[in-house]
Amino acid sequence: MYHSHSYQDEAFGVFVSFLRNVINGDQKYAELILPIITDAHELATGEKTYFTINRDNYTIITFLVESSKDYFQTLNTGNIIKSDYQRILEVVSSQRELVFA
Amino acid sequence: MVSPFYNILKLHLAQAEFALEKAKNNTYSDKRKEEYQDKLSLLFCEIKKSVANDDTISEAEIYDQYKRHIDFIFKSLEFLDSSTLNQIPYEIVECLDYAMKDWLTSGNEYVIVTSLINNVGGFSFDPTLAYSETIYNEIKTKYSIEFNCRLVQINLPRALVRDYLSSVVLYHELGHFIDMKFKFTESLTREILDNVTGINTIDTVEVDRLLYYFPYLTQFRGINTQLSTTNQYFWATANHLGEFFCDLFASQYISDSSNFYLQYLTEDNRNYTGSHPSTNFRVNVVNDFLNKIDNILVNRINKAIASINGMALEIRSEEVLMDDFFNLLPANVANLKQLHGLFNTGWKIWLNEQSRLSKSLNDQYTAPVRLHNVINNLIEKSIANFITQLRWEKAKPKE
Repeated sequence: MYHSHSYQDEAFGVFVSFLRNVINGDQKYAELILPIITDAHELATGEKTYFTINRDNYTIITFLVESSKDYFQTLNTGNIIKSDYQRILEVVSSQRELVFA
Repeated sequence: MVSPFYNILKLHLAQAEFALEKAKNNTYSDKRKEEYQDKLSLLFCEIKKSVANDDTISEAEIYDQYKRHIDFIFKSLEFLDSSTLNQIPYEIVECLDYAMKDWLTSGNEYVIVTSLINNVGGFSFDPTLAYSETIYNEIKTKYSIEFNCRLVQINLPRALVRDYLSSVVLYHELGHFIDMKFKFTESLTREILDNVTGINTIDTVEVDRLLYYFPYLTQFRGINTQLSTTNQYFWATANHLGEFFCDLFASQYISDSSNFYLQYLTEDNRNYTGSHPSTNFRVNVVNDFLNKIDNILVNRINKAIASINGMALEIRSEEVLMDDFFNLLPANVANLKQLHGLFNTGWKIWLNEQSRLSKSLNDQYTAPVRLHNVINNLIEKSIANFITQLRWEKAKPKE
C-alpha cells in the first residue's frame, strides 16, 4: 500500500494553515515556514538538489519550485514580507486547485 | 453570541476529554507509550485553556489553530488504544524494530504500535504520526510541549497475527515507511525522468536499461521537457520505484523469502499496473541484488540512498542452521542478522523440507495445519529466547 497521496494532501493543508497564521500576524509560524521557503529558493537556484533538500517537507518544496521556479529563484529569503507569504499562499491554492481540477 | 463552529469545537474537545479519560485504563508494555499518553493529556489541557479564552475565534482560525491538534490527540489514542499489553504480537514487532533502527539511526525515537484488523490481506504500516516532524514542531512552538517519541503503527490481519511465514511482508511495508521518511524513490523518480526525457543526459545504453523496467516511458524519450508531478506517468514511475525499493529493502533481512509468496499472491502477474510493476520484474530485481548481479535499478536506488543518508542496501541477515528445528528445538540465534534470518529458514523448510520435519515428528503431524503450527512455534520461541538473552546481557551487572 502506498499512502503518499493522502499524506501529501495533509502536508499541504498544514502548510496552508501555517501561511494563513503568519499572514494574520502570528509570527511563531514564520519560523516553521522559513526552512521550507529557504529550501525552495535553494532548489530553484541550484544550490540544493532533489537529494539534499529537507526530507520532511520534500513534497511541498518540490511543488513550490515546479509551480513557480522564477519567483523562488529571485525571492530574498533574508527578508520575507507579508506580500511574499500571500503570493506563496496564492501559488499553493491556485496550483492545488489545478491539480485536482 | 458564539458561533456554531465554536460550539462544535467544544464538542470536539469534550469527545477528546472522554477518550483520554477512557485511555487511562490502558496498560502498556513500553514506558514510552505511557509518557506519550501523559503528553497528550498535557496538550489537551493547553488547547482547552486556549479555546476557553478565545470565544470570538473565526471558523477559519478554528481549523488553522485547534482542530488539527485535537485530531492529533485522537489519532494518537487510536494508535495507543490498539497497542495494549494483551494484543501485541511482541516477537515480530521486535524484529521490525531492529530493522527500523538500522535506518533511523539519529533523531527521534520511533515506537512501533500495532493494530489487528479484520482483513486477511491487510498487512500495512500507518505512518500518519511519524512521516513528518511538522506537527511536533508546531506543538512545541505553540504549547512548549515536546513528545519523546513518534508512533508508527503496523496493521496486522487478526487471522494471521502469529503467522511468521506471511509476516515477512511486513519488512516490505516497513520499507514504505523508511522510503517515505527519506524520499529515496521520489527523488530518484525526478532524476530518472530527467534522464529519459533528456533534460539530464546520460549514456543511451543506460536509458535503454531504464526503459526496460519502465516501458511506458519510451514515449517521453528525448522530448527535452520536464514531466510534471501532476503527470500520471510521474506517479506510475514513483509507485513502481517505491515497490522495487521495498522489495529490495525487505530482501536485505528476509532474503528471497517473499518471492514465491508474492508470485502466489499476485497470481504471478506479468503486467504492470499504475501502482505496481510486474511481478517477474520485482522478483528478478530482488534475485539480482541477492546474487550480486549488476542491475541498473539496484545501482540507481543505492546511489540515491547514498546521496540522501549515506547508507546502502546490503545483506543484513545470516542463515540460521535448520538442524535445531528438525530436532524440534528453537534455533540458537547468535546475532541480529540471524534473528532476521529465522524467517528465511522457516520458509525454506516450508517450501522444501516438509517431509523431513514431518519425520522429526514421527510422521504424526503431516497435516499442513500441524506443520504450520510447529514452524510458527519454533520461530516464535527462537525470537523470544534471543530477545530475552539480549536483555539479560544488557541488564546483568558488569563484572
